[in-house]
Amino acid sequence: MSPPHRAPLGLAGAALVASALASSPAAAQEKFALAVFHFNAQYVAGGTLGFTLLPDPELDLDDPTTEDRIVTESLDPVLELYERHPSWGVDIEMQAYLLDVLGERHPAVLDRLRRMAKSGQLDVVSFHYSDQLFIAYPEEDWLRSQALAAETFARWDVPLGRSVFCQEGQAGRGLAARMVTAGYRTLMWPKNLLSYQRSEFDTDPFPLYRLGDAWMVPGGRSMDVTAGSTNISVRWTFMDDGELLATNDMNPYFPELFRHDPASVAAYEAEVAALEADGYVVSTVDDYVTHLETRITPREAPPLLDGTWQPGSTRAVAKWLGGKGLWPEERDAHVRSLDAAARRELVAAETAATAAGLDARERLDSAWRLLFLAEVSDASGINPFRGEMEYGLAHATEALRIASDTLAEAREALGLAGLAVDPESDAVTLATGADPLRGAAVAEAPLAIEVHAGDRATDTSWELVATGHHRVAIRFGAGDERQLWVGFPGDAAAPLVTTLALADSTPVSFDRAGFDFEEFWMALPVGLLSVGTDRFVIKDQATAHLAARIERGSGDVVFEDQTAPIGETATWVFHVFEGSAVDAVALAGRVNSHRRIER
Amino acid sequence: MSARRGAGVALFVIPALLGACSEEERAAAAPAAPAAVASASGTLDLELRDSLEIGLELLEDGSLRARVRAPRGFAVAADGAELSGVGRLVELRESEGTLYTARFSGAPVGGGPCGAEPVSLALSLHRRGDNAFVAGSLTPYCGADRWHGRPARTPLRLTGELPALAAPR
Repeated sequence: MSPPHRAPLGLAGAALVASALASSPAAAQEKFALAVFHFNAQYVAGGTLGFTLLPDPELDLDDPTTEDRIVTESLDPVLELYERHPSWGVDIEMQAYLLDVLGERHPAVLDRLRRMAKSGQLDVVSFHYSDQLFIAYPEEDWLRSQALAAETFARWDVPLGRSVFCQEGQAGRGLAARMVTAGYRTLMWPKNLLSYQRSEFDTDPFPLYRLGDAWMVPGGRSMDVTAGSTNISVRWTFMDDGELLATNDMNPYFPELFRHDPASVAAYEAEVAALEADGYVVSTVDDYVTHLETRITPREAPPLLDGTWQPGSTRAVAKWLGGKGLWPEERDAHVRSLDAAARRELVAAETAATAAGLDARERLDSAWRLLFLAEVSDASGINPFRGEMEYGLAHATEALRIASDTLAEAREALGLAGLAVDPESDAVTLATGADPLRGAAVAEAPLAIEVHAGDRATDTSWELVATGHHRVAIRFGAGDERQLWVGFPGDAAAPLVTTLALADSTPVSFDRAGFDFEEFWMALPVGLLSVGTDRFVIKDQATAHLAARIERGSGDVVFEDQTAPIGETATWVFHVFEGSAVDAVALAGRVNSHRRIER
Repeated sequence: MSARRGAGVALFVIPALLGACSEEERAAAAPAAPAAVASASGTLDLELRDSLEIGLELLEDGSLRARVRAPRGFAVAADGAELSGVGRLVELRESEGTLYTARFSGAPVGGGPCGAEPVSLALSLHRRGDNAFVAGSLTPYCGADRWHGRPARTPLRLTGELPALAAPR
């Protein structure tokens, strides 16, 4: 395998090589200490304003003030720590948006970060502009977000690291090809997301895997292994929210407590120094992998599903797609479905603007940026409070407005009374009132679905869209029940067929028996999942963007929202398709990636 | 919020000014404003702890007229001033949603993020299905007649209940 590009080894890398040479040639004992600090400017998206029941000027911090505290109380102290130890390598992960915050309001901190990154001591790791739940959306969102991230790094003159760690520890096999194309090399796949799916990662740990044309390392997994003539000892000294290290484990939700605590930093510094004294090279992940690839034969990564870093406590991705948290205002399906509606409008606006010859690049780019911010994971999980939920809704509606205004302008420019925009074919024509994804009502359902709604009235209506293609709408009336779900019967003997994040066009088949979990929750980036052989369910993300629960011993699939607002109605739409996986993927694209709309 | 200039303001200022004119003078001075065919009003939460009065009118030409007033302008509008502007009501049939939009032209706000520049504000509100609950934002942009780009600050969050637009009684 050839890495996409190779930068000269930094100071930590040079120290690493020196250490390795000193210990060769016999059964070398090679020791590495790694750390990834995951910083998130959107830790409290929108700020702590409104977090407490009663107003309090000390606690009601707006968005910029909350972001500033993250920089001054937690990020800068970590940078200062490593600045005191120029031979220590480290990975600092952040969304590119945080670079904008640094550049605009904390230039001295940005200078420090830039200086350390350029020296090779520090890798600034960033895979997305905003800390968005990108594994839950079609790949175009990430492609545009990563392009903005790369542009942001270039604009602030900060080298973009080749390693990948993501918000919520999101990881997936489909990232590999995108990583290589974009110049990344190594995915840090969170250890718990590995072992939750396959226990072999616990029982037989290994430091380096091939993931397509990229590398994968089990993120956070300390281990001592013998590979060939090399004994590898790796210790992860930190892999967590970076905000916690320098603040005695306090987080930005509590501004009165979220303060730089030098004693916490000193304790960690002593821990790393002790490892260094014991022969460990304090390294960036990139330098560590550079070393490993010359020493050991990597293993092939086994089949794995997309997910997040603590699947046990968050029920995989369910916490962000229907799973309830601590606060009653949470409304996951609303937040995530509105994002999907906004992105659908934006994709159509791109097509319409081109057809109409509009100069809309700047405005559409600004709408995409708002969408990336709207897709922030914290708007729907783990425990979003009202302010974070509203942050997501506010950004999504503004992105939707700009897209909608652009469509209206295109309609006027083209002189049409109504637009039919089909992004799949780039066709923009006169609206007809027909929707190719609707059909004639049918009395007989193609399969028996189960609906749970508590005290709410429900109405389930099926339509035949085309041969082998049905649409079902489940309308939930107003009521007090917050836990709504719909179950689709499947076949445990059939393989699990879906698509993976950042690989929208490729169906992938999994053998359920190969996994060790009893149940798992999937984000479904284009909405597609099999329910039996050659039968698929496709959720309409703009109405029911919920996690799909699967079981190892059953073929059934359940979509659940535990956060349905009391007193409000909801309508969920799914498509049921019988045919090939390739055709199912194409249909899922028409439903969720590039939906034809009329305006 | 701030007193402001622009097309939107004429909808509310001109009728008052014309009150002293004769019917003939009025007809000659300005075309008849489109009549409202449906309207709704209410009070929404603004940035969780504040409030915003809002009135929407669907006009016979299909456009939407919006008026908003908030006691606190968050340095992108003058405290307590009324903003009015025109936008659209968009049915998002595929997702059973409704979008209400409007553009407001605001004056410079001393000490605000736009400094001496005028502030353009965009209203975007979304309704899911037939629910009374709406959510969205009032987003400020620096500069006149500029309703996109990097917002002057984080979009101001709006949520609350607003009845569906109904024919005026």
